[in-house]
Amino acid sequence: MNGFTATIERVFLPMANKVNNQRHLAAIRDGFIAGMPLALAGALAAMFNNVFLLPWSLVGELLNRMAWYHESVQPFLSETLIPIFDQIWWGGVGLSVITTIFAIAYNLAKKLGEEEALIPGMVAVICYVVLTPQSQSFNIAGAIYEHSGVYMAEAVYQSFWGVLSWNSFNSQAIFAGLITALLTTELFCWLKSKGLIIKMPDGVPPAVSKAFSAVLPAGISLFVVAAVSVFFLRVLNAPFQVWINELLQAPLVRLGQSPISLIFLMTLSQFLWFFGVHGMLIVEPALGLMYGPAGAANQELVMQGLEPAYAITRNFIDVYGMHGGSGATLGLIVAIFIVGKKPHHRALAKMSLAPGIFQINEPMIFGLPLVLNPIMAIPFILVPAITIAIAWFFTAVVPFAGYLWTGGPWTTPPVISAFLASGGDIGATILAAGTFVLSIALYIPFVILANKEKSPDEE
Amino acid sequence: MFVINSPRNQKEIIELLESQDGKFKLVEKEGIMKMVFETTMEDKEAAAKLAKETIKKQTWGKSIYFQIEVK
Repeated sequence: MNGFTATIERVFLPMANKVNNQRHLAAIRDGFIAGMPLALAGALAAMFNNVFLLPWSLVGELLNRMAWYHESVQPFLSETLIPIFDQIWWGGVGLSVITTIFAIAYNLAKKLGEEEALIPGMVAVICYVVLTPQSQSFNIAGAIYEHSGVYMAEAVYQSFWGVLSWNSFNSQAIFAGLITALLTTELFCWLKSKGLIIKMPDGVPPAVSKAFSAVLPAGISLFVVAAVSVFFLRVLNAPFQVWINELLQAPLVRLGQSPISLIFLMTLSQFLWFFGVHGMLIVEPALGLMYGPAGAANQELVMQGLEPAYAITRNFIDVYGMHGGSGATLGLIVAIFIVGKKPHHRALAKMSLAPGIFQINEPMIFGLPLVLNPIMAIPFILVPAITIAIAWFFTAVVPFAGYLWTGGPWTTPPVISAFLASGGDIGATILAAGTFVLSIALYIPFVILANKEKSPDEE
Repeated sequence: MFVINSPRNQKEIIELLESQDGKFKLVEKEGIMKMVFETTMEDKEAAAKLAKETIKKQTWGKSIYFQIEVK
């Protein structure tokens, strides 16, 4: 154990410190956190529609079997609440790349010591628009002709000016947005640091003076980005967003769909938690980059009336592997209630039950303790990996559970979180309940073992 | 009095808190990760919050998993 602890101190703790203090990763993390209230509002709006309000939703379908509901309530909902929630989703999630770019640029500018971080935030958003084509081509139906007895329409593409593609603002554009935010802010702040600013006389109001000081860095940043945009559009024949998606984002998202990637990252995080290091700090950037676009894409597909495409999303871990918090400790609490004999364990389990239901497990982690507890190391590290592997099998291989495409706050109780995140899918809910029961069963032998262990005050 | 549970960086935590103008003093260490501190501040909750913020401000403080309980 001491050797392991020394390795943790020497290798992982400095790595966690480095990741945590790396300004770009910290800006991305803080930017996403800042956008969380909007994303959550959008996700909840999508969930309300797709679980309760739409006529084909789980609850809506049941209610529409009653004639009075179908004839008087549903038409009212279809004209009022459903479009309202749709619009909330459209702004909160559908176009969230805009707010994400601003928030990341704002946070990075602050970390670079920029007093007026609002301006680089705005510059980053506008630079992103500069990278977006001004016109779009659409396939408009051409001449109709008959081919082997089948009538077909000739594909005719027409370009429309002043139309932005949603693909530049949806889940496919997340990486392009992040890169734009980081690079344009670095450029803006670097230009300012080199003294490329217009200085106003002392009598000019500070707000005006600050705005003028940004004229040259903003102008040069826009020029550079516009040149990049033209290069992509004219030389590479596709927008920046498309190239970034195909070269970086799509391969990384595909890599994330392997259960091995998810299980490796999660087990590493659990391993570090066990030694008292904030494991998520190391793995969260990878999780966010691989699973953020997948979750957003699933949500967009459902909102368009299509089936979600990605089996593994960021909240897959919380829904199937973290019942009651990291290490699936709600399973441990129930296992203690069933076979635990130590009064200290039983008292702690009672005290930890209520927070555990809401995914808070610090009382168990530090109270039992789970940290540095050699008996509990095995289940604490491995239970989430096992339940995740089983959940993946019954989601991606055997299509028993529906894909997760939305979600509530992280404090949503286990099983309920599966119901909500899958838009009311019964298979996903049963699977979450099943993995929860499995976590209890996996913890039971270790609680029995812990019963036999003498605590220091018993010795 | 408050207790800090942290299996990591215990030496740094003690040194850091004891250098805060005499506001915090380690009373005892219990087990492998409990550090009991007494404080000269009247409001114990505020003292625990200050201790937490002080630790979190360190480059290493953001990466360790610790908990503070007021006794």
